[in-house]
Amino acid sequence: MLEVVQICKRFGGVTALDRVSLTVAEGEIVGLIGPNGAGKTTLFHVISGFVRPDGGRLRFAGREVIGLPPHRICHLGLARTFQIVQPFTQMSVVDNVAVGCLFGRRDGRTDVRQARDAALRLLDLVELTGVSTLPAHALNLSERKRLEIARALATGPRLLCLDEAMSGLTTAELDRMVHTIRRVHAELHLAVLMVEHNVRLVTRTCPRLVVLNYGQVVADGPTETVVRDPRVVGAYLGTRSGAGA
Amino acid sequence: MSVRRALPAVPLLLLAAGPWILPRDLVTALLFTFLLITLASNYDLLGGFLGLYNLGQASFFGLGAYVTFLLLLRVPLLAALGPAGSTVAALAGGAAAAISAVLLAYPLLRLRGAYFAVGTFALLLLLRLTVDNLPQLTGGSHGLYVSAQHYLSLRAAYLLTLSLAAASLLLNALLASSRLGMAMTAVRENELAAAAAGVDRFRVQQVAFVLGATPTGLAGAVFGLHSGYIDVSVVLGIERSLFPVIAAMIGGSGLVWGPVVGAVTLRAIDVALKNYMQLPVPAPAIYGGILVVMSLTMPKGILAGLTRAPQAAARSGSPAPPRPARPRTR
Ligand SMILES: Nc1ncnc2c1ncn2[C@@H]1O[C@H](COP(=O)(O)OP(=O)(O)OP(=O)(O)O)[C@@H](O)[C@H]1O
Ligand SMILES: [Mg+2]
Repeated sequence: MLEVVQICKRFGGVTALDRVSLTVAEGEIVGLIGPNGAGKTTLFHVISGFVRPDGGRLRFAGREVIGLPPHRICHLGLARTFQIVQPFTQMSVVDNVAVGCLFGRRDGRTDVRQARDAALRLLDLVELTGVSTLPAHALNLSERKRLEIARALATGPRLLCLDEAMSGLTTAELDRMVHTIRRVHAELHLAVLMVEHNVRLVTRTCPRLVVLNYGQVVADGPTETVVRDPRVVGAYLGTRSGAGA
Repeated sequence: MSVRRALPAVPLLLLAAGPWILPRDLVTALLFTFLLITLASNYDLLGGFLGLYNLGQASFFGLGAYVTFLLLLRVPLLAALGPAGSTVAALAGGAAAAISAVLLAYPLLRLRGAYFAVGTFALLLLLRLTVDNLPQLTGGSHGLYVSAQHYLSLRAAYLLTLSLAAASLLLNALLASSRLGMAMTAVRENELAAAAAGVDRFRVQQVAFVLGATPTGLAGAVFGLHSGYIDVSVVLGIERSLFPVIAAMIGGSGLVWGPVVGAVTLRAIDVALKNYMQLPVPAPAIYGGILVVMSLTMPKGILAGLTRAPQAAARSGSPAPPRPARPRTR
């Protein structure tokens, strides 16, 4: 459903993405890991239309999407969250999500009240019902991460891209978040591509892992195989190519 | 329910009776107040909802007035039609403002923040220059006159400007709770997140730009037909462009009634200073002084100063959010 082919992106002298290729199939749940600065967020920016790649091809839902603006890619059914959460701070929590219900699809809801009802159901799914009427700026980090997810879900995605939905959470919150992501994946029948630093949690959640290091895919496959791959271990130990590990 | 909904109509009807019960100079003063309310509300549709500060609001006022006048002066058929001709010309003036907003959105909405403000102001200056330098067409610095048959009476102009002000106010009020209003707020709050949630930032801002330009264009047409004469300094004046901004800010930007409160306050100070006081210094100096004091004491505007004072104090107590014990907002 998502096909990333040989995508390159340079920022000045930094090669953030170096011929990155990967695919995500319908309903799949894939973990994307890699050390700081590996290019994970940049890849998300490219996939969601915020950053134009220097080269490569990108297909989603059967069409080329390079050059499409972010809102059009959203309409095709690709939703993302932001590593640095981006709530509409002055709007209520429910309205944050209602925006997604109203504009996330071409054939989306047109009635504000209906959109709020739909938003409330999604807030229920991510366990934020209790704070639905608060302004978004009143939420703590864990709640903001959940709000990001609810707003992304509101756009009716077929692929949900989560950028570090779990970083900065306490241990108890982590377990709840894993539970929530699994539940979302199961109940809404969508594919999930999730960036995560906590390898233990990703391995628990994702049957397949893709590893990025210095902008290159260094491993892609079943989780058990990938976590034993010496290049992956090397990447996490900080060796340049992992060859010496 | 329906009674409560109809309540705002009562003061509106009372105001509509104005020309029959109030002295003539008060009617004129109100007419100018309605004009300012219209422009200030239209300005705040962008300023308040989108955080886009349009310093060239008068461009649309001038466009509306000039297009109306040029049609009446250049199209014999319209001139021959009398009042019907004026009506058509005025509507065309409003349409011209709307269409220019559609087109101007393309260059102007590429700009952000202060650059948008400067861009809109530059547009006003550009229009002024253009009119000044095409004397054959626009009359240049001599301005344009229409014949007496096209004049709008004080009563008609009063009722029309009142309607435009009420419509502008209603527009902002309806937007506040509408789908488009949600998109506008989302874009203002966070463009990145809005785009990720499927909001077409440009289209939303373009629609808002057009909605904010159209009543202003019609107001320009009505104003021109009432005075019978227009020139650059009157309909494309710098003050014409900046007073709506000041009115919105003084009254309370982002609040439906803010521009109204601000416009009435500005006009009241103006009228009081000019007509009813023997001043030792020029009125504008005092005017400016009052505005400075008001913006210092009520930076969020009169309305916000009156209604939000306790809340604002509570919020400033804890800048980083541990959750406030406030149960709900909206
Ligand atoms: N807008 C930008 N301008 C210049 N360099 C950038 C920009 N965005 C990212 N980079 C650089 O590209 C590289 C990849 O960054 P990216 O944010 O994609 O990494 P990441 O894998 O998400 O890291 P983290 O785990 O810290 O979130 C880094 O070296 C970063 O400094
Ligand atoms: Mg990142």
